[in-house]
Formats: sequence, C-alpha cells, structure tokens
Amino acid sequence: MKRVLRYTTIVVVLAVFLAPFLWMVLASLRRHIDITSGRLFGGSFTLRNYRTVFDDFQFGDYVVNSLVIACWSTALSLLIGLPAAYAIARGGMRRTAMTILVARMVPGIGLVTPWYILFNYAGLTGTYTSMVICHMLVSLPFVVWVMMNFFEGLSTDFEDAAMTDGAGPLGAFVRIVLPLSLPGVVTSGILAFIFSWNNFLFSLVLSSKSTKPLPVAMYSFIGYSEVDWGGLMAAAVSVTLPVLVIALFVQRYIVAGLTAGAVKG
Amino acid sequence: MNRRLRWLFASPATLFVILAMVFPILYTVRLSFQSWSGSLTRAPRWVGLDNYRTLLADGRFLDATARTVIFTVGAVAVELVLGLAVALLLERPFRGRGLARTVILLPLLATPVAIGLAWLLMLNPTVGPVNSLITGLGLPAQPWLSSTHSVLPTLMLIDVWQWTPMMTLLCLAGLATLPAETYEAAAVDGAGAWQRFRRITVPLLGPTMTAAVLLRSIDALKTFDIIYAMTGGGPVYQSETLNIYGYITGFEQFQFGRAAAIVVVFFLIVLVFAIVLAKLNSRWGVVR
Amino acid sequence: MRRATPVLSALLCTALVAASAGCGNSGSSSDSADGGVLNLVTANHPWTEAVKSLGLLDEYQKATGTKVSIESFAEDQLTQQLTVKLNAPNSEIDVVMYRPPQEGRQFVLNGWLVELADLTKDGAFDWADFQDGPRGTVTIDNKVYGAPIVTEREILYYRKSLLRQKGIEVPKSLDDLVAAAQKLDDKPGGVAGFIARGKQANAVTQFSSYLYGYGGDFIKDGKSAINTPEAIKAFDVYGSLLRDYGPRPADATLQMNWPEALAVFVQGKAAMYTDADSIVAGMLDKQKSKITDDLGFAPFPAGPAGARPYQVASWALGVSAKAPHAAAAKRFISWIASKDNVLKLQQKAVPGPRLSAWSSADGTKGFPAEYVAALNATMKLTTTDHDRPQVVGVARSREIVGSVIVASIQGKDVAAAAAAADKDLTEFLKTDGK
Repeated sequence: MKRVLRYTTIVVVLAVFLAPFLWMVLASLRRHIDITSGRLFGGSFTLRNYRTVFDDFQFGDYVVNSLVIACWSTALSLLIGLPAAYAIARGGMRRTAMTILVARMVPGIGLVTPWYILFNYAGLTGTYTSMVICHMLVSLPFVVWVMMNFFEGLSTDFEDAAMTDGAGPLGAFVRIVLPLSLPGVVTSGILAFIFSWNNFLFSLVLSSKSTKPLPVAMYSFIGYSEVDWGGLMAAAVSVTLPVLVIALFVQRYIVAGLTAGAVKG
Repeated sequence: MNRRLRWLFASPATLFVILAMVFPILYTVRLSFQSWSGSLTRAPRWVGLDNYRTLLADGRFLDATARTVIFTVGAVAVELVLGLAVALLLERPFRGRGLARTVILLPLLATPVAIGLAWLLMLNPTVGPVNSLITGLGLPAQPWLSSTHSVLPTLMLIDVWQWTPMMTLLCLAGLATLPAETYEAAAVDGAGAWQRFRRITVPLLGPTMTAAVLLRSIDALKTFDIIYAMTGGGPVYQSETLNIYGYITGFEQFQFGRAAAIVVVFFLIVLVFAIVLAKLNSRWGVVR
Repeated sequence: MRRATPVLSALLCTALVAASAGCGNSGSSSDSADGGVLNLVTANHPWTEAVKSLGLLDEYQKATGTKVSIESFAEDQLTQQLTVKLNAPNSEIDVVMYRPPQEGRQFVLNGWLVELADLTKDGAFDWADFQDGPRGTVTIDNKVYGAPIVTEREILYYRKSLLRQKGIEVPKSLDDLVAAAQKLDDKPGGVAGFIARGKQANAVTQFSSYLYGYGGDFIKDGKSAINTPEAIKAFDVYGSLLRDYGPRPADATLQMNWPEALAVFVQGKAAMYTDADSIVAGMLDKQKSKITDDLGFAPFPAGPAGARPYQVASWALGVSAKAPHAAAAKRFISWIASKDNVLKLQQKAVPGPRLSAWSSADGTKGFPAEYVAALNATMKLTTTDHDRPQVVGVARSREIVGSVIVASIQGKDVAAAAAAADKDLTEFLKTDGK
C-alpha cells in the first residue's frame, strides 16, 4: 500500500513537470483554430506549423545564428576559463574567484546599454563577435565555477609525477590534467552551451537581423502577422528540442555540473 | 604553482571579466546622474541626484522594489520546501529513477522564453486549456495572468515549476553525502522517521541548502525572460519587477538616466544578497 | 510585437554622434539618381510583399532607368535599424517606410525626415484623393513629412446570426452598442456580448474612437484632456462594456491585445468586437476562424459628438534628410503612391490611402462587399487623424491613458483614476520632446 502511494506520488509529480512540454508538442501539431477551442484533443493533426516556421519564417537561419554564437562562446569560455579554474583550484586565488563569480550577480540589464556603446566604438554592432562576447559573460563564470570544483577534487599525484619527469606546469596541465578532467570539461561545456542557447535579454537588445538567435526570433514570431498558436508552439518545440535531447543523453553530467560547488563531497 | 604562473593562467579570464563588467558598471553609475533621452539633437545632461530623487517619490518604483523581494522570497521558499520533498521522494532507488531525474531536469534546461510562451497560451483565461480543464472539473475559471490580484502568484507558480527541480537536485546531491550509519544508529535508538528527518537530515543538509537558497535567490531577483515574455509587467504594472521596470524605462521610454538609477539600486539589492552569501561562505565554507 | 519595438533605437544616437564628430558631415547631396540606384528601407509588411510580387520596382526601372534597391526588416526591428541608418554620417538611405502615429514625431524632432511640399502641391499626385485622416497623420505643424501607403480605421465587427436571433439592429450609436451588448451577452452559453482590447497600452488606440465619439481627445491645446467629463464618460463606457458584457472570467481582458481578442472572437465566443479594419484577414481565413460565414461589418457607432473614428496612415514613405538622391526619392514616392499603383496594391489586399481606389470595383475585389461598404461609409465621416496621443514619447503616454481604461474595466473609481492619470500626463507633457 505504502509503495503504491509512493509510486503514485512520483508519477503525479513527474506529470506536473512534464505536462507543459507535452502540451507544447501536441499544440505544435494542431491547427490554431483547434487549439484555441479549449479542447485538449479533437481536430486533425498537421505538420503545417513546422512548415510555416521553417519555410515562411526561415527559422533555419536563426538556428544557424544560435549555433554559431553558442559554439564560439562555449569554446572561448573553455579556452580561457579552464586555465583560470585550474589556477584558482591549485593556487587558492580567492579574490580572482570572487571577481569572476560576481559576474553572475550583475543584473544583465545594467550591462547592455554600455556594451552597445562599446561595441559601436569598436565597430562591432550587429556582428557575431559582439554576440559571442556578451554570451561569454554568461558562460565563462559558469565554466570557472564548475571546473574549479572539479580540479579541487582531482588528486595532484599525476601532475607531480609528470613534473618530476621534466614536464613544465603548462605541459602537465595540457597533457595530464585536461585528459583526466574530460568529464568535467564536457559537463561545463554542455551547460555553457545550453545557457548561451537559452539567453534572451542580451540577444534581445544586442542582436541585429543577421545575428538574431532563436529565442529572440521566436519572440518576434508573436504578432508577425497575428498570434498563430500552432506556429508559435512549433517554434517553441524547435527551440527547446535540441536542449532536451542533450539532457536525455548526458543527464548524469548535467546534474553533476548544476550541483557543483554547492555540496562538499 | 608559483605566483607568476598562476597569474598567467588566470589573467585572460580575469581581464575579460573586468573589461566586460567594470566599464559597463562605471558607465551605468555615471549615466544615473544624467538625463538622456538618447536623441541625436541632445547630448546627456548632468542632473546630479535628480534621478534618484525622482525614484524615491515614484510609487511605481517602490512597488517594483517590494514586488521583486516578494517574488524572490515567496518563490524560493516554496521551491526549497517542495524541492526537499521531491528529493526525499526520489532518494531511495526505484525502477525508472534515471528517467525521473531526466524529467525533472527538463524545466531547468528548456529555453525560458519558449516555456513562458507555452504557459502563456495554456493559461489564457478564455480559450486556454488550463481553464477548460478546471471548468470541466466544475471549478470556476481563473483569470491567471490577467488579474492584478493573481498575476504575481501565477508568475511565482511558474517560477516554482521551473526551479523546484534545481532544489531537488541539490538536495539529492546533499542527501547522498549523509552518512548512513548515523541514520541506522538513530533508528536503533528508536527515533521515528520524522525525528530522524528533523534531527539528522535538516542540520546536516543545512549548509548545502543555505548555499542553494542564496544562489537561487540571486537568480530569482534577476528573473527577466519569463516575466517579459508573458506579461511585460502588466496588468497595470502588477508584475513589474525592478528588472522589467528598468528595461521599460530605458528601452521603451528612452529615459536612460532614470533607467540607470534603477539598475544601480537593483544592483545594490543583489549585492546585499551576495554579501550575505560571502559571509556564510566564510562561516561554513559551503561555497569555495 | 508592439512591446519590444523601440529596442535601443535611441541609444545608437549618442554613440553615433561621437563617431560622426570625427568624420564630419557629408551634407552635400548630388542629385543624379536617374540611371543610378535609389535605396529604400521597408518593413516586412504585406505592402512590401505586394510591391515585390507585382514587379513594381522593375517596372519603375524600365520607365525611368533608376534601380530601386530594397532592404526590409521585421517590424519590431525597423525602428532600430532606421535609427542606425538615419543617424549614420554617410547614410545611403533615400526612402524610408515608417509608422507616422508611433514614431513620426520622434523622427521629425530628430531631424531625420524632410518636408514633402513639392509632392502635395503636384496636381497629378492629387493630394486631395488621400483620405483626410491619413493626410493629417503625416502632417506635423502644418508640414507634410510622408506619403501614406497603408491606412487603418476602427470598425465594428459582429456576428450576424446572433444579432438576428435576438432581433437586434446593427448598432448605429454607442448607446445602441451598449444596449446590444447587454442583450447579446450570454454568460451561461459562453458567448460574450462584446470584446475589445483591454491591455493597458494596447487598448488606447481602439479606445480612441470612443473618446472622440463623446467629444473628447487625449490632448487639447497642448494640455492633457483626459480628465474632462467627455473623456470620463468614454472611459466609463469602454470599461463597463468589457466588465459587464466582456468574456469571463472577470478581468480576462486585462492582458488582451488584438491577437488575444481576435482569438476569442474567431472561436465564436463573442458577439461584437471593435478594432482596426486591418485585422480582418484573420477572420476570413477558414483555417483560423470559425465565423467566416457569419461575419458582419459596420462603421464605428456614433457618440453624442457624432461618429468620429480614427482613420490613420499606419505606414507612410518618407525621404531621409541625408538622402543622397532626395529629388529622385520624391519622384519615386510620387510614382509608387500614385493612383494607378495604389489601386494595384490594394488589389493585393493592402488597404490603401486613396479614395479613388476604394470607390472603384477593381480596387475592392479582394475584400467582402460589406467590409468595403463599411469602410467607404467610414471614409465619408469626419474621421480623426490620430489614434493615440500626438507626442514624441508615445509609449509612456499610452501607458498613462491605458491606466484609466484598466481601472474602468476593473470597476474602480473612473473619475479618480482619470484625475491621477491627468496629473501624470500633464507632468509628462512638460518634458516630452524637450
């Protein structure tokens, strides 16, 4: 009896978390007029909404924009974030750590205005470069945060051995530490990618027509002609799906990354 | 690692953060003492403390400040309780536990704007499915985001839906580190389930939970995507948080000086949370 | 997407001022575009689509030798893009498509548009053939800055069968409208008697025709007029229509812009609906609407001050103050907005600015006959040339006016709300555009 109760509760809880996604997918396959009828089912199923989104609204272009921005900002964040996290973990640089973490706390709304002006002086408005830079401010602190915890948990034996064998600290970092830390690098990379993919505020203000990423494109889908619920939900599914697929495959890594640092293990 | 090498490793990231943050913060502070509508024909004008004085007399600003705090405290408190409850539910192994963990990850990772718009349509008071469901059960239809009374609770509810999983994950990670022997010993001593929870779980999870609550609070204070996409601060400003008010004042009403002042005040509030975090950090060493 | 429209446009200015200070201003404009290239910036709008599909630009090139290069942006990005481009020290833009009611005053104040006096004086262009409202919309301080290309009026949409069942005549006056809404309201049946926008800032444009009908306006002689008895009456009527006969649950309309209101109406869940005539396409499409065969159209009902609905130029073409080919730009505008071309564009279902097109059988083929009749009847009225406060900071002014509409829908004290908003608007007007 107790077991039944527990399983029932689990199912109900999971259903609550899952329901909006199910409805989103369902709505994306129905006609506007059927969705707004208030009935959960009924009416015919159609793929028209996806055709609207990709053919008429050229969502493909925005997918490319999102990919370019997310990949570059993730790669660059890893490039400069990994050594920094390593230095913090091994050198106990508390103030540096705090500086980088404060970046997580500054309200984004206070950054966009000055950034715009800065980008203008640099002639970078409307370029991928400006988008990558502002997305890096989201992903870099995260990479540092996750990786400094990861490096701290890593035994120093291997590095010491490598250095005794005559490898310099840089060599030891690149050839020994990084390969050993691959799970952590994957975790922080995936999460940095997802956060960049999802970012809305920076993109809303700073992207131009040719660099507009998916969330902003999706938002402009409202009132493009009128709210087409089916099309809107097809757009929502297209934006969310890649992230959810990633979540399905690397669930374990993501959980490790999200909980890094909050639990002393 | 020696000192020089450490700096060499850390400097690119540190420099980047300083450049990308320090200039904007200084610029915003300066702008908060100016009046600027952004027009070509009129350069920014120095107005001293006028923007701040206006804000202090601006009911809409004071309401937004209070609302930001209410939203954050309310949502995070519920998330903490529910998150812990779900974690206890999922803690012991059962068939499909991996799948369950994946499912609770989804709200965390899904694009907030997409989620916001899906909820917006679902909660549409006249033609949305949630009200159809409710009236089908014989309950009265709700205005959800349309009423000045229910808009903030509704947004908090959606925040709870989205972020409770984060608390659950953190609790699960924390629970995994608790020593099984302590529980066994307590059970032998005749402590009931509730007592074990109160006397062992809660104190041992304390540091983890504190860190989680503070990090979550800082993010909750800054909630923008969902509110902007769903209500834009309405109806009649009743879901306007400081972040939204700052955005509207600047980018929709072209009062960049006043918007900068809002941002400065907002940043100070976030900073208070950050300082508390740092203090607890040095006491418990939860966040390294 | 009205909400996110003005993103950053203003910001750009200062950055560009700084940038242009070094470069100096390339003020001199050669004027030999014929045989050259004319640059046109437009919105992704049915008008632009129609121009392209009709091949009008090729036709123009054949006739004059001038190639017109077109660059179009999503509506919500156009303001931002225009701001960048019109501010740039060596702008190459000649002709811009803009929204006179929303951004006209801001553009003129910033010195981005030139007066089009030659055009309005040109007999062949026939300025008098344009509807009077839209002519007013593009006129600021007695100077014309744009040629209307797309126009909009408020009309009454209704469900024929429901009115017939209850034996109700199509409302001719606002009093009739209220009485009809009361009779048509069927709460148990889930059909509201009336629907309209209730969302604070968005409702203002559709509320405006009510305000004018009661003899009010937003601003009179440069002063706030939203606390006058006429205005209070209008706020009260509009609010109580939605409160008493609008869709359930209570307050459901407070977050309704036109897409939300339209969704309710096309589901058959409301009997009458006042909004812009430009949204008709969504009601006529069987894929999107359940009421295509039951749709009636009528001119906006008259108030005590007569039927004075807004009739505005929602889009117009203007010439950039920095246009490299200003004279050629004006020639192009006079051609694309000519009687012939407006007629052609209107056949592609773009509601045009010219009376001649609306009175011709060819120009109205794309629309239901009753809709055309309602529009033509509207054009004979003394329409109002604005649908929102005529100020520079339109967004803030709409918020202020909208606060009274919301208070009225909520059943709060309208007079008190109007007095408070009046104070805000007066305060706002002191600094607007200064």
